[in-house]
Amino acid sequence: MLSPKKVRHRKVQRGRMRGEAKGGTRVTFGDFGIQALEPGWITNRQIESARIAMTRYIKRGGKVWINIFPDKPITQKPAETRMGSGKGNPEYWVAVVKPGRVMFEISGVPENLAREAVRLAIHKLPIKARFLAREDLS
Amino acid sequence: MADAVISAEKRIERGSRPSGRIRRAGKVPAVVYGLGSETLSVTVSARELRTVLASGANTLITLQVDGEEHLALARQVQRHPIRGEFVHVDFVRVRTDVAVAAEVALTLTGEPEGVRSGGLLDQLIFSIPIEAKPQDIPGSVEHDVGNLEIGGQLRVGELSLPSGVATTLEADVLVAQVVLPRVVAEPVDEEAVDGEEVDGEPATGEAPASGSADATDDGGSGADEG
Repeated sequence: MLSPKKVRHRKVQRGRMRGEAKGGTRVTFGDFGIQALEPGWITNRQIESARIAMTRYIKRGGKVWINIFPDKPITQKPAETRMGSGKGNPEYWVAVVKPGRVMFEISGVPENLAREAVRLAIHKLPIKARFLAREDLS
Repeated sequence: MADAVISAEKRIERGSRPSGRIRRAGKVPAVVYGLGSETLSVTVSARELRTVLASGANTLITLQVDGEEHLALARQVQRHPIRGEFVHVDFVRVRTDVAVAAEVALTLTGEPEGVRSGGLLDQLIFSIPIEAKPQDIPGSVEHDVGNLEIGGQLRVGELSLPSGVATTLEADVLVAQVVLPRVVAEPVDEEAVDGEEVDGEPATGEAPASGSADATDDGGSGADEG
């Protein structure tokens, strides 16, 4: 599963997710993609789950890109613990995603196959997302 | 390439709030520059612009601004990331006798032989930078890859460009190749793990590595073949 090899700070603040993605909003590597329509935290398990859903559906043939990386540690306090005594322990990693961000890309498969693979993958994600095709210059 | 006419109005107000009002009125803030003349802030109709750019990103445009005519190409077409509406457009003045730089779509046609025998066509470049006179800029560059076998490669030097068009890329840059798909054998017990993943209860053993050394790894994109 995706996680950073090294980090500068073990615990970070939650932050805000205002506005839209300012980059990575177009399909650049593959032919089709999954674009986020809402802001959210995508955990490394959800990323892996979506990837597996796509690769299993397209079987052999096709290539999948993951354009997001879960580099934000999320902490949790143990259950039934009294408040105080500092911040909880890092439990999992998330990628911060804003609306417009292309999270996954896929190529080498016909559009109908890609659409179904993307539909299955979107079900693994905690935010609304949509199928996106590459924009042509012509 | 077809010539199109767009009427534009001079824009006096600048800044994000006046620009927002312009966009809500169905227009697009734009700027005209180039050829050593002064820079003009203008607004154009979003509908006209959409019609013109639908016929090609490198369509030669005649901009009519207060009785003056400017021959221009649309550059830096900014769109809203979700709604796709135009946010801002740059128009670069051009002359018909001077070559300009442009980006042209690269379309690969035909089914490679390698794909028919189980390979995967991996296209690495989807548009190529070219230099040509504005009227010579093609809508797209097409190349037939029907004879590419597994392991076969297509390089920029092999592309046939129309006369008067030159690319700024090196001739040995890889455009596409036919590769054998890498089939990843998944262990059987992974399936059980996947089923639980979606419901999202983090396993206690899955805590992030408590590394405290420097340099965060951003590792933006991972590729995986299935």
